[in-house]
Amino acid sequence: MLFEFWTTPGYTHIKAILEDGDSNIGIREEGAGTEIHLKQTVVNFDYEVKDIHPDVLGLLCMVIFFPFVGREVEFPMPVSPRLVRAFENECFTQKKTIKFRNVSDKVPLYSGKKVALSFGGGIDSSSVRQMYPEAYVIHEAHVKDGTLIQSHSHKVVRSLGIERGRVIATNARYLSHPGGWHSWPCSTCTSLLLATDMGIGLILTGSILGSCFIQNGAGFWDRLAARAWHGPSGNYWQSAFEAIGLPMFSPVTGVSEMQTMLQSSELLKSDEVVYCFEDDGRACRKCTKCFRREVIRSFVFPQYDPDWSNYDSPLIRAFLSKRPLYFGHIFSTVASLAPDCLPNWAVPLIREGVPLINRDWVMRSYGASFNLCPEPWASWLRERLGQFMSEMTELDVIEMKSWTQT
Amino acid sequence: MKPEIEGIIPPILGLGNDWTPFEAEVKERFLQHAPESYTLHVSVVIPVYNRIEKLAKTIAALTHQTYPLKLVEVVIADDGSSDNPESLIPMFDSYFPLHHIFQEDKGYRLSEIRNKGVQAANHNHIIILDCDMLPEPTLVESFMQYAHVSNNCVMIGGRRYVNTDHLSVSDVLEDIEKVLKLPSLRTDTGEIPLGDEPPTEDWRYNIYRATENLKTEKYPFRAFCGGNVCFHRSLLDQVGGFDESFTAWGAEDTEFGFRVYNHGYWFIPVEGASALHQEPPKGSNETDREAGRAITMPILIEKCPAFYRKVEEGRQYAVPKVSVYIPAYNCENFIEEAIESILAQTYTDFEIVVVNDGSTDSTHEVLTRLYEEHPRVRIFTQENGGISAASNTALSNCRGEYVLQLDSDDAILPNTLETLVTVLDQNHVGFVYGDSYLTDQTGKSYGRAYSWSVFDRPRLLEGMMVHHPRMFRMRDYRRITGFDESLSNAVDFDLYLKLAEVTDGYHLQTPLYLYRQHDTNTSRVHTGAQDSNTHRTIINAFTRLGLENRVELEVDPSHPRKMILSLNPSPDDPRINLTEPHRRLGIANPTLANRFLWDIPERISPGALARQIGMTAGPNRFIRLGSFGSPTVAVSVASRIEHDYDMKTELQSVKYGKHTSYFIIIDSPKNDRQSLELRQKLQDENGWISEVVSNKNVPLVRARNQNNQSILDTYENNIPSDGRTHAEPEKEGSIYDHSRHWIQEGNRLIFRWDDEEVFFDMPQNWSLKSTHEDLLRLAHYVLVAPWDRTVIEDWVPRRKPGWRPGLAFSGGVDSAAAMALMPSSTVLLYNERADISGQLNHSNAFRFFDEIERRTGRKVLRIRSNHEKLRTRDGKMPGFSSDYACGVQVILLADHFGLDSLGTGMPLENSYLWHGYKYRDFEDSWFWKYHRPLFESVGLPLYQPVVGCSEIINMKIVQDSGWEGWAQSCLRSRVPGKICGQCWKCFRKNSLVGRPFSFAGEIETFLSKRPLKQAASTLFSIQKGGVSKEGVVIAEKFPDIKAWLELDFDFLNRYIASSLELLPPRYRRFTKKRLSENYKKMSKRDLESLRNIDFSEEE
Repeated sequence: MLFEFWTTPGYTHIKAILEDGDSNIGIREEGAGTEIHLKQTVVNFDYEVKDIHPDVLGLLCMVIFFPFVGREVEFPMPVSPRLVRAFENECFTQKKTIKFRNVSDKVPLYSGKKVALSFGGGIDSSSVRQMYPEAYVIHEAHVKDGTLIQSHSHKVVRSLGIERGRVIATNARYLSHPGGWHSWPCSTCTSLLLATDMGIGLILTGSILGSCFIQNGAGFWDRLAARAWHGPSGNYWQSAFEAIGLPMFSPVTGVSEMQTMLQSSELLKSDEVVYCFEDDGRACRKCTKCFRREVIRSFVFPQYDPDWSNYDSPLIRAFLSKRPLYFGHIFSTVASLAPDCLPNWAVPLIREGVPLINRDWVMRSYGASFNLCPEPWASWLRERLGQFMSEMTELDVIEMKSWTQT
Repeated sequence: MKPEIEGIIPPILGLGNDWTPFEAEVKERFLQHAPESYTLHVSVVIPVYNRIEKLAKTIAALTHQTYPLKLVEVVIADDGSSDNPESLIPMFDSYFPLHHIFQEDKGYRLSEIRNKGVQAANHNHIIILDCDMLPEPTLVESFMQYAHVSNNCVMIGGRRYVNTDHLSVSDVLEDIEKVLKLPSLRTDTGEIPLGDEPPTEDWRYNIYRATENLKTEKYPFRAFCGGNVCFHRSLLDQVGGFDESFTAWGAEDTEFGFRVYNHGYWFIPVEGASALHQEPPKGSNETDREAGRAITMPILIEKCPAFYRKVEEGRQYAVPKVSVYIPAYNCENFIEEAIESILAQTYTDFEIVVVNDGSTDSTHEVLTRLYEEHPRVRIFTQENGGISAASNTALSNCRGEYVLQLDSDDAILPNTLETLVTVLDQNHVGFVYGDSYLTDQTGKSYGRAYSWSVFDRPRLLEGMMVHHPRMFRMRDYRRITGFDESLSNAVDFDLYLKLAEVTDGYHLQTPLYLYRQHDTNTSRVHTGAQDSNTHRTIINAFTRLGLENRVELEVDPSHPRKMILSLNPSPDDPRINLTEPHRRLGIANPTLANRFLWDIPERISPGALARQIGMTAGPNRFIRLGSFGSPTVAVSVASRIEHDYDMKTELQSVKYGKHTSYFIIIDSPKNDRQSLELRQKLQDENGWISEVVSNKNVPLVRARNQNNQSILDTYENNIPSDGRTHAEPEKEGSIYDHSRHWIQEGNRLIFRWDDEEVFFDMPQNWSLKSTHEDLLRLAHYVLVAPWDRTVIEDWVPRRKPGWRPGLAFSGGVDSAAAMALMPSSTVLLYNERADISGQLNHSNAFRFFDEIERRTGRKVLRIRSNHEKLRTRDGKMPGFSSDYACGVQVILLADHFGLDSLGTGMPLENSYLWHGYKYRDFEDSWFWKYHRPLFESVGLPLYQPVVGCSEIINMKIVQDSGWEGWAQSCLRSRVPGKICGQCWKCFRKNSLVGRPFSFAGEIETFLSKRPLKQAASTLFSIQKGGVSKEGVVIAEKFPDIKAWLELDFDFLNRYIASSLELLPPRYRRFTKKRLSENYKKMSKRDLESLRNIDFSEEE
């Protein structure tokens, strides 16, 4: 795949030119790995790049078009062997082995001193925003078939002012059909784009314990051990970021939704958090996500008075009956430690087949998670997080690791 | 302008005929996997005349349309058929409703029946389909996809040519595939092509290929053919219907297309909207298209200034190329100079529209006194409403293709129109503007007005740069919302901001305008209002551009008229609001109201995008000198520049077609003013054509700057010292009281002069009242010229020409030859001598006239008159009293028939051979120099196609055009088809072809006279024959003639090529083609022989 990169006043554009071996049909890396079809080969951003490091640009191209890349890639500028090696990781080569055509060992290592937050606008990234206010907030506004998908977050980020945050509109999320991000690092595209201009050295995200270590509530997955094959970050994509000198890490990797809810409470009060996508950020008060959040809020805010009347529905009952229960560690903790925080009809449904969690580790952070982040960032991040919550004890960790629904 | 703001100014959607925005909407709405449902009804109007079989197949094919038939109705628009097309209705009314409308058969009235068909249609969307245009199944759907998108476009369908004769209506009804599989034909033979021979292709496809499917075509209306088109009914409210004065085949759709074009519509050749043209057998067409075109092309030229017209100097056309408009308010001292400066233009295809905006001084009186009757000046008066209202009124009355603004207190140099029209004619650019001289109250220049070198669209958003003189295309003006009547000033700034949103501009760095400075210039008073209106105008412009979210504007405290523009770094919505472009394009329900800037280029064709690139000038300046035709010259000039001015030069060669032009590029100071001064210096000191440009690219606009100093000097020398008008008031001329000489009694027109009275029996509906006084005066003159010429003394004629020629037609050989060389639109008018006793007999002429009508449908109008008796007052035989009395009936009927020239069959023997026996340089003769301007002055120039042809050639022309035996010069024969064989004419004309003549008295008398009457051709005739049926040998009977018979008169078989230059320019090409295709022109030797003809010495 050959990439072209250019800017026009106010805009940046990247084009993928498909070559022999490339395909406009790819596999989504997330979820069930369904087939996706490339619809557009030009990705546009409403930000005009002044400077971009070759490795950052190369990685950006790969992040956006990876499912469709075939045997070879050639970037607009020669990239360093560091990027090449990152894609020689077994996790990548199991999917495809890619030859990098333009490589130069003269490309200096990228480095930056500032911190950016790839901000989705939800509870988790809002908690990061709250705990790390020095992070420059970068929010991607999605463009689908020319239409700007409106989001409450646009207003939130704009209200920060251009010195603290920025909304970047792009069609990156909807290049293929069905649309949506095909791999989770796609959420960092806009941060990659701005990185060189802004001197960003670390990209923060809001990935949480449940998705990083608990397999969405099914049971513990030792990401630290996965470093053996995923690379130093415990995830092959993250390791690729780290390899080029621009690590990407979530300081709430070891933090559950319970804490992110708590930490974003101030922003919730000021209506700066997207709570539910069903109703442009506001709670729809009927979906499974809103239900889970109601449970969390009633658990972490003792004075919160939930209204369950909407939730006794076939949808929620079916959700609670399904095993493994999605984000079961949350429900299990509440059912065990504070069943009053659940509607009566939900408790038996949760307890049926879901092991109870007896400790409150969901309210603490998993300290070892910072081993996935390079220094000096890790120490700073860990120290800051410590100002907001305590770390799990050894017993907490033992229970977390041993708890499983499967 | 800050680059970050410049960068987000969206490109123009729909530039020229770029219909990509509609195409993109159609794709998004109808060609995606989940297309929108169709909701619009459509009426298919099918004009028909006696082609029921083809019509039936066409309607049968409509039943196969992919568009929902419940949304379709069919209107059969019947131009007087006798084969009852309405009988088809029961066959198809189960598919869709059908209506039949009928008009009486009064000849070819396609325009009228089309208009009636549209009127009768029940739906707003109209497809006009010729009865022999069998639609492919996707035709209606393809049209209607665009119809759903916008009403501001007209859709054009294509065609291929097939033979459906072997298919029945049932075949078509049952299986459309049978039709679709039909092979394409050659239209000239009506046959399937053999071997590698290609079938005939729709002629428009060549244009489509060269112009991105008309997207980059300057005059897209050329492709508008009325046989397969679709539009919204509201179009007719805007531009009117098909012009019903086209009563022969062809051009009516082109003329209609021009009006549509001039109203700002886009023309879309729609893929999928093809029809199969059901060819007539063997390629022959029921309609004589060539004959039709000869009639309709002159009308087209009269009414369509674009593309088809080659302007004849001085001629005023029904629809002018340029409209110059003047909003006039209290300008009594200046308005005359303003108007006179236009009337003195070297380019003459214009009209002037003046709107008196409720002046309280004597402006109104000055206008009415001087110009009320002027054919080129139209004056409108309204209550004072301000400059914008007056300008809007003026523009709504302008009819031209181009528009020039002139302020009532200013003037233009005589070459202004010519210069600016040339730029617009030769380029695609939407508007052009030049520079101005500043003048004082008296009109004397004292310097140059401020000017910015290069048109720069972003920079225009910061302040006005499009100064006088400015000329724009009416098409583009009609796409914007006109002048803002809520503004009291900055109105031109507002207008050009709007125009720059729809088209591109070009600055010609040549001063052409005289900008009068005085204390009451609106821009120099009311400074506060000027500032606030300027701010409003800029804010409005950014809003129209859809950038209200992106750009923040505030007043510049250091320059109160200016605004500081800054980019909103974090807008609520970063997209461009497309409300205004959608309004302009007529896209009422766009897929998206806002779009990202990066999406917009997808809605622009590559050609239109390339055109726009040059509209941002940037800070760099260069001076481009040239072009130079050869590299040697360019190198030489470059060395001089380097040596004399110590400047570095760069040579550039540019290919224009087959030719290469050479330019010299000089780096110029970035300072704009200094660049202009340097350019001026190079031009003044060396006369080099030059231009300040902002980049070294090949210029998109080709134009030449001029040094107008000498033109200015001449102009100023004509300004009287009192500062008022320099122009003489229009001469009013002597008064002609026509009622003293001309009286109408019923159809009879009576001419009275000096106790003489003659009559003319005019056609029904002719009226004296509707005949221009100038014609009556000219008719008066030609009738009595031998005795009295005072009638044309001190005469200032004003009549405007019509649109077709009239021929003084005698039915003789010479006038029949003239007829053959003139367009078939020519009106044939015969002077039928009446109430004068004598041998003259009309039998042969009438026989010929009947044959003409039988063969061609053309009528020869006979005007009975006894005016030839006037000649008898000198004791002569009855006959024409003057050379052009033969055409008096043409003169009198010129307004009735809309004639633009007077044709005669004057042959070489009466022109280049004086009385037929002595050569004269006719072009330089008194006769021609006297008569040519006289007839031209009344809009009736002389059209004498055989003036350089001898009677010998005329005979051949008559033979070749099939009138041999019908055209007879003999006026004596009483037996139709026969000649008397005894008159002088019979002797000369018929002996040439071996016909018998009797050596009768008249022949002997004439042969005895010296100098020999019509000597050259008479001798040539004698050489060919010369023996009477009685056996008289002329050469022996007249020994002096025998000597002359040794001369070679063969040159009479060829024509004088230079004589064609005497024809009216508009018909020159036509006649030249006809003549040169079949006959040879005289060689130098022939001309020498001709010049040697002089039999007068023998007198």
